[in-house]
Amino acid sequence: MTRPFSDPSVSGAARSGVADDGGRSLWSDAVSRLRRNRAAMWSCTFLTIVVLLCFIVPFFPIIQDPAVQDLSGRNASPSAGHWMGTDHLGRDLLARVLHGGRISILVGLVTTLVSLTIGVCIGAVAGYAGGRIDALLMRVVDVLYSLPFLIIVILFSALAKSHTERLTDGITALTGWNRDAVAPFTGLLPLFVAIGALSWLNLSRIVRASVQDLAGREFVEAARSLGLPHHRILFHHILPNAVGPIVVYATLTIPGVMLFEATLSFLGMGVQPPYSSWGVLIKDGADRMLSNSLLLVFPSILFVLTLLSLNFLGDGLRDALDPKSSRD
Amino acid sequence: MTRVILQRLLQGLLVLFVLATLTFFLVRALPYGPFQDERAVPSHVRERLEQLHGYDKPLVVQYAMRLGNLARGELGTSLKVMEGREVTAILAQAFPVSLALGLMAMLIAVPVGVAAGVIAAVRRNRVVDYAVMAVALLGICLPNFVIGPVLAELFGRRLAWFPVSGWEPRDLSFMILPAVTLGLGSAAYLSRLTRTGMVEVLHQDFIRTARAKGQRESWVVLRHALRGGLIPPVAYLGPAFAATVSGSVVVESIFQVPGIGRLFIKAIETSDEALIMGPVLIYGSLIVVANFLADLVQLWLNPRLRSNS
Amino acid sequence: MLELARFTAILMAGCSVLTGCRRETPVESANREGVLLVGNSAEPRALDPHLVTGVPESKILSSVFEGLVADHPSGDDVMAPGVAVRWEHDADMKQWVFHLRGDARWSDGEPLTAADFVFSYQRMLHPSLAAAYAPMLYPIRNAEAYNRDERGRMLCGMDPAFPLGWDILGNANFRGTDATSVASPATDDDDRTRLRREFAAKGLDRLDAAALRAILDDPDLFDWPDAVPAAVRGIVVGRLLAHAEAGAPDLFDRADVGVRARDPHTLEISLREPMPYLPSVVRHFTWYPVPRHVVLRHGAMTDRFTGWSEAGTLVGNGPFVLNTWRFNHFIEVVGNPRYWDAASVGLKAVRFHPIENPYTEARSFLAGQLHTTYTLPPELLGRMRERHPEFLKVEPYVGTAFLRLNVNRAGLDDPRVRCAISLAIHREDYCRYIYEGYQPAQGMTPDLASYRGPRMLRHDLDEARALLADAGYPGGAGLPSYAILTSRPHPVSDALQQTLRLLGLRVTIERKDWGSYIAAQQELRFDMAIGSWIGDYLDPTTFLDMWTRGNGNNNTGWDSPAYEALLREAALQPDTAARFATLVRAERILLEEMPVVPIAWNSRIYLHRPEVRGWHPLVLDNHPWKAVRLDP
Repeated sequence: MTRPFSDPSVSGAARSGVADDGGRSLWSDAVSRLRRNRAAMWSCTFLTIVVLLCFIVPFFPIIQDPAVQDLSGRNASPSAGHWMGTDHLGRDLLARVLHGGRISILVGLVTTLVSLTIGVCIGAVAGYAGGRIDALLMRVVDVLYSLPFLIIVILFSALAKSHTERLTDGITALTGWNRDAVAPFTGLLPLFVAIGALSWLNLSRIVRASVQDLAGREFVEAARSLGLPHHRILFHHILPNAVGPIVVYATLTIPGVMLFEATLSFLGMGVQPPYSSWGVLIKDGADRMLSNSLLLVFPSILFVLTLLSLNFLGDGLRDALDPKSSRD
Repeated sequence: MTRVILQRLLQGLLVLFVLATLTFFLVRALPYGPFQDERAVPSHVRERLEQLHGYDKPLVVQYAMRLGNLARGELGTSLKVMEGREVTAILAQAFPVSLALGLMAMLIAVPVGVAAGVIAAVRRNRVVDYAVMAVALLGICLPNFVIGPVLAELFGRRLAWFPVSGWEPRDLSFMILPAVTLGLGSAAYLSRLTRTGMVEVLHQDFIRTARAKGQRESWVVLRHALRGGLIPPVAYLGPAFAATVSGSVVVESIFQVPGIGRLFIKAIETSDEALIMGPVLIYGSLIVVANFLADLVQLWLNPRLRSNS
Repeated sequence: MLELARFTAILMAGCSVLTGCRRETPVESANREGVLLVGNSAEPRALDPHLVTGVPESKILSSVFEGLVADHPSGDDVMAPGVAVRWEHDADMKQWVFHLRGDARWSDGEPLTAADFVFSYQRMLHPSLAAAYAPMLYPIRNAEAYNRDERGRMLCGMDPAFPLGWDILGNANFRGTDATSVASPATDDDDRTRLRREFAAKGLDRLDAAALRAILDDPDLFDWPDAVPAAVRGIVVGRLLAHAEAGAPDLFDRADVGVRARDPHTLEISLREPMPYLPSVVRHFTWYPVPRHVVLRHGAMTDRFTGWSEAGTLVGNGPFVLNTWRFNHFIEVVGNPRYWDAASVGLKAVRFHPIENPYTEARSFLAGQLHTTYTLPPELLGRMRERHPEFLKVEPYVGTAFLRLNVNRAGLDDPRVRCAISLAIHREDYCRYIYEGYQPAQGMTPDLASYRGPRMLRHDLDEARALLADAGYPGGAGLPSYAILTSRPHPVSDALQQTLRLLGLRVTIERKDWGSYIAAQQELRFDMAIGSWIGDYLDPTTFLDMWTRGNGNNNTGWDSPAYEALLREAALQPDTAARFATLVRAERILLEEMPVVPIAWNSRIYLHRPEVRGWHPLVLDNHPWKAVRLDP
């Protein structure tokens, strides 16, 4: 099948890639397109509220200390004192959910970013280069898929512990902050590495498939015939057209890694008690589903709504950034 | 074509070799060994066990012996979890269960996921789209350790439609709840990926041309758009398939399914090298084959690629 | 697409059939057939009584085997006749004679004799079998030397005609020492130094024929204590060499292990120390007989896992025989018609389901798939109390949950700090909210038989703070940060963290996977560790023996000569009351030194259907299956 050179995707790609001066108008176009997307705007508002609640409110004294136990007041129903009730050790659930949100949002975003970077690069190079490079990269991916991840985590968490402790001490000494406030975050570093390093595998295969598909299209042939260097063709012409699957898979990765964090936390990596994360709260809640279902319901609602918003925002962004979509 | 297959076969063997090597040394690097127990094993007993299983030899020698055995197709005997039993015999019992369950899960996930994705893409940015995507996202966000117990409690205990736990090889009723739990996540991923793939394709000119020619919309979607739209989900499907049929510890534990997943976790907990190696190699082979098949399907879905290679 | 349609059709048909006829639950049909459905936690590793160590295995073994003494359905301290009809002992409780019943048979019809017991104990103790639980048989005279393969001792020390007594000879290096401490004369060349070190590291008992010959040729290659004359050295090495050259034959008879078949129906057991509670001990599965003729048919005595204990091959002497073994599905045992008391066996069969996930087990129970569960998740206890009190069982159990302290750590090396930690724990609250259904620990050893421990655990935060200040750490100042090692997620670690913060201690929680958690404790790589211990038999020593020097289950780095002296003193006392009084004194030392902080005494918490009869609360939880009946 031959197509005329006036393929809209070519002109779109050419605008974003070759004619750089068109960037501003493209960006403002995108913003205005995003503004018109009601689902995306609602999601954006919701996310802002959640992030504000999780990251700022815990610093105000209205929220209780998430670690303080009150054994005789455990499993309490929601009340004026505890808006979401208390957990099995009498800790304020609202405080735990908000504090947990900080960890989970951080984990979700950072590890997804890491996995996005690695996955897109590997997948794009494999898909574009093809041949031996593709075979080599994809066989490495095959090996990484099949390695017993649990063993790596066990080994890595034993290895990383002393290092993160030294880092915590260093930061505490340098800044004079409370050690207990620093430790939950430095403790996450091995987690970022572990999840980030191995959650890019699916993404790389999806990017590779899309890039292979796009690399054969006419607008890429056109760019090649202009004599553009490979990296320019790949990153300015091909990848912008593969942004749909990439954004979608990235937004799918976030809930995955947030829940995975909980699994790793039980193996000693990631957030450690008394601190919590949404994943850990949901896991704890699932065990207590029959005795106090609120422990599962409240964290799950916030978790699901946040990720729902993130997905709609992701879809909106994708539509807004994709010049083709403006014509639909 | 024969050359491609042969090439991939060789590459696959290389993958398995690297995998076996890495697994062997990873297991041996664990901070605990197979001859330890919660209750201390007397040191003279431990020494004797190490001697019996060749653990007193230098690691490189053990590695060479292990590799030799594997090359002859001998997976060895379990060191701890089911001590003394041939790993092949153990896997012969557990793998068919995981395979059946995984296939069933995929039989549920693929049609549901693809159909939902197509519908959402066609009705893009309308209520149906949002509803389907919201449900899909629920499937992704609610982990199987939440969905499984809820399903078991609801359909197993309260309604008593299905058994809450257990497994009978030829009784479908035992398979439904674990398969649904296992397949739900994949269905959700597939629907999201199908939708994005379809949305990309539905923009393209040849679809407009087809529509302009007055072809029926459903025909346009199924005949022309689906091919291109399936490229992202197929890339995901390869590894997802391999992962699903090689056992899930969570689902097996919730529904008391005698599959590979739980055995594998127990093997890791006890550093049972032979019982770790077996499932890893099975999973590795599945990954190699599934990814090869996925590549072939992609080639078929995408005529341009075929002419290129 | 056709496949899909067919699949959907099957699915729909399946659903309608299911909803239509699933009226009878497995428990109801099992009640009719007299089959007991038991939740049994884990898949057994094997069913060879000599090679397994777990509780799930022990439940199954007790249905297919029977020891000399049997469990009683309603009293842990009642010794019911098993293979032995009666038994007697001498005045100092060291010589025991068990009279076996004349009609005892294996399930294949072969007669069961005292020789089978001798064979079993020899096999269990044989060094080559490498049975992890062999120490359970160490009360038998010389069993330990035989099991540890102490060749020098067996070949020379136990020979009454040997020119030198073991009290002197025993100081020679038989078991191997730290080789780096071996000094070598300046005249030695590198080769000799290497050999000397190697021999010293191995010790005489483990040297092979070549090494022994080398020593015989050149006696200087091995360091002897001066008290051992050169002539004796030659004899010792000569005997060891002769033994090695003969292919290291079995030394069971030579070692004079204290078990003997006087005649086919009389078994004599001689102990190294008085042991009034021997009948309670021999109920443990490690003391079961194994069928000599079947074991030897499948391989040598010392071969591990020859396949003699599989479905289809396993021959036992218990009330049931192994019928079906489907991995991770269930194990079924059915009535053994050749059992001596077959007439009083109340069940047709018992089916053991290896359900590890306690939530799944509870769900299966409530859905009518099990008669009795292995456990109940603590989160469900309150709900079951409310909704299903008729199913819930909470019974005392021989177990203690505790916190191990690594006494090598700075701060924790001071008993005052350790006692302060104990005083800070409000055990009543812990048992109300965290270890629900458990009893507040009043000592290390729960109440068992007539033993009552010193009961000196209290909660007093002020005293705890005062003790800490007294130790030089007022308000915890000057103490390092400690990590509580834990494996399975349990709220007790969170609670302890909060409790210890009340003392001003800085405490983190260190979660590890199961294997790493065990290894970290055994290698003393921890500060504090949550742990528990389940007793094997009905005597306080099952809780006290482990806190001794070199015991693999101690894992605290603590030891006390005074404590061990008292344990040794108690071991020599045949009178139970006097012995218990000594043990109370020993436990007092343990609790004063507090290397391990007892928190709660375990309970067995499980679900159980009321139609199961003949099932009574037992502290050891060994319910004899033959006494169980089902109301249809």
